[in-house]
Amino acid sequence: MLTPLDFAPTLRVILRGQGLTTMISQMDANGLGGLLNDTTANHTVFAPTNAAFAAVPPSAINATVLNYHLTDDVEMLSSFVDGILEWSHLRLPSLLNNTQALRISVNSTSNTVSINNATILSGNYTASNGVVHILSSVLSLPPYLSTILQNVTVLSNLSSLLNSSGLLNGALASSPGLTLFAPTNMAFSQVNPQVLQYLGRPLAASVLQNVLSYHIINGATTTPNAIYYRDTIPMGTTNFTMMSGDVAQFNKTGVSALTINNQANATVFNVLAANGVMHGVNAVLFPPSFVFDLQKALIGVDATGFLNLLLNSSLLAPLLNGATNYTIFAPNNAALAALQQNMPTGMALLQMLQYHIVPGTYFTTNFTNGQVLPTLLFPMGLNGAAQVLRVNTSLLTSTYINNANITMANYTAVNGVVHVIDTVLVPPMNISTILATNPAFSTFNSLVQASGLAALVQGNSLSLSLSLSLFIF
Amino acid sequence: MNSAFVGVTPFILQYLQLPTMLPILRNIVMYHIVPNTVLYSVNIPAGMTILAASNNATLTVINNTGVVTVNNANITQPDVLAANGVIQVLNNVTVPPGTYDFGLLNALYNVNATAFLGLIAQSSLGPYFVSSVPSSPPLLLPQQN
Repeated sequence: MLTPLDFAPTLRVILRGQGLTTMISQMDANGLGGLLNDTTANHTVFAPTNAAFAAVPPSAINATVLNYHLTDDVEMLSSFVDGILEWSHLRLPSLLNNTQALRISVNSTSNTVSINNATILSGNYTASNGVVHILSSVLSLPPYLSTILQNVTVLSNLSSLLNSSGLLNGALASSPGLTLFAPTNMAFSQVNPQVLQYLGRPLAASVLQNVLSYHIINGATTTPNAIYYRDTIPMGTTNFTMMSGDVAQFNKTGVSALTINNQANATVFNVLAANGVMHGVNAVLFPPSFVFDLQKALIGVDATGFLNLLLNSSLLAPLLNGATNYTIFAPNNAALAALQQNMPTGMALLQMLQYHIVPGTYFTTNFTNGQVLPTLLFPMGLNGAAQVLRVNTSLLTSTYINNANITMANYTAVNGVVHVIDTVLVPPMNISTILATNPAFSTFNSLVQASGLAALVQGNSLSLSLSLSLFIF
Repeated sequence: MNSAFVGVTPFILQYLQLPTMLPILRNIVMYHIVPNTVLYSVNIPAGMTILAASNNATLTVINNTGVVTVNNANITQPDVLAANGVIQVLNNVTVPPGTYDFGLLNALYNVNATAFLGLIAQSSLGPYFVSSVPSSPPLLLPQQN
């Protein structure tokens, strides 16, 4: 039985009737002419004007580009809603053979409809096998995520970190089917600067990559393989395993109301890319496995030499990631280098390291002049008393610990705090040694020797406890 | 601190180290050592504190809004950290109660009666010349020659 549509003209006839002859000739030239005649399948054709074709170099037109101007169903203008996507006829391996999306914008003031960056001049030209809308310009395929990132000013911080991590020129430039949740520069400005400083250090490279890839869903590993556009992220709460391997919780409460890990809100949706899609988010996401502990803080302040010494100590290394809080006075690399051949080894090295670590969290803002801080160093034979460090704030312009100047203060970890010092701290000597070696005390020392009371000032002597307050005249 | 000895003549230092003066020297040295306490400056209470030195005599410590005195001396360099305690550096010699008076011996030295001093030193009488006893024995001093 025949229907009125059977007598309606085909897409080819409609295109010709609207004078869209370049569209027809290009379809024919690229082997796609059959689609216009095929009455077994419906298509929506977004047909650029002849002038629009004339404005792009002929080499830019090929079957891929032309397929991007067709969808596989009939979409009348009235069905277009601002922000939605339409699915083109184009299927690309870079999108896991999913269809390449077209983004619809509706300007309610001017009442114009746009497809990506092209305006629909007029439309709803109905054919027996579809409908034609006329475009002001030729659509081009979206760039790769890597290219988009480098061209969006408000993503420069993210782009820079992705670049140093290798992801920008790696996965984002080539891997198919990625959904990227891109924190804006504003989002990065809210991250603790000490954490950002850490992420910029060479020793943090693998962690940086982990943090950044926590912002990506790799569609190649999801089931089914999927790119998550605004409207394909499920409503309600969904857990996604991100590219880093860590799980993120997505909570969608409305068409454009998406929150990740109860922390980051999506503010921009559906920036189309050749290899996926990007959404803007207003906070940087950190995987649950990311804990800013003392080890990370030491990397953050670039006290890498001291960190290595601690990591090589089976006694002290566990403290860096442990649950107990410590304050670490970390000599910078220059201070360690200055030791040269005086670098202690063995037990002396362990004691030197212990003398730089104080149980508890002490911020310099709470220091008082003359305050003494008991360290982890408990020398043998001294009745179990901790060796102390002395705070000196009398110079006002800078804070000293013993003879070391604090050059970077209060790098705060979850299990303590790191202060960087410019000199290696040397555990104190016995009183007897100080008297014997410091010329300022030579007179008193001679009297001590003459009195036969030398044992009195030797701490590890059994006849005396360690505790001496020695008033020297 | 060596500079604290400026008021003490080399003679007294020398004399203190004579064998006969050993008990007095020990008493003075022990008066500078407080056992069983590591007293950092920040832990010295405001006002007056009495400390027992290792000779069991007492030291009077006064913390007057951060300016700390020990008997008649000021702490000029606080908290020299040591493995077995702490050193507080004073600007003056402090001597045990009962005040040693070296005046008599000094007087002998000053009149150049060194030969007689030498005899005192060799005797066991030295401590009698350095005494807190108000009534120092009257001394008849032979001519040097």
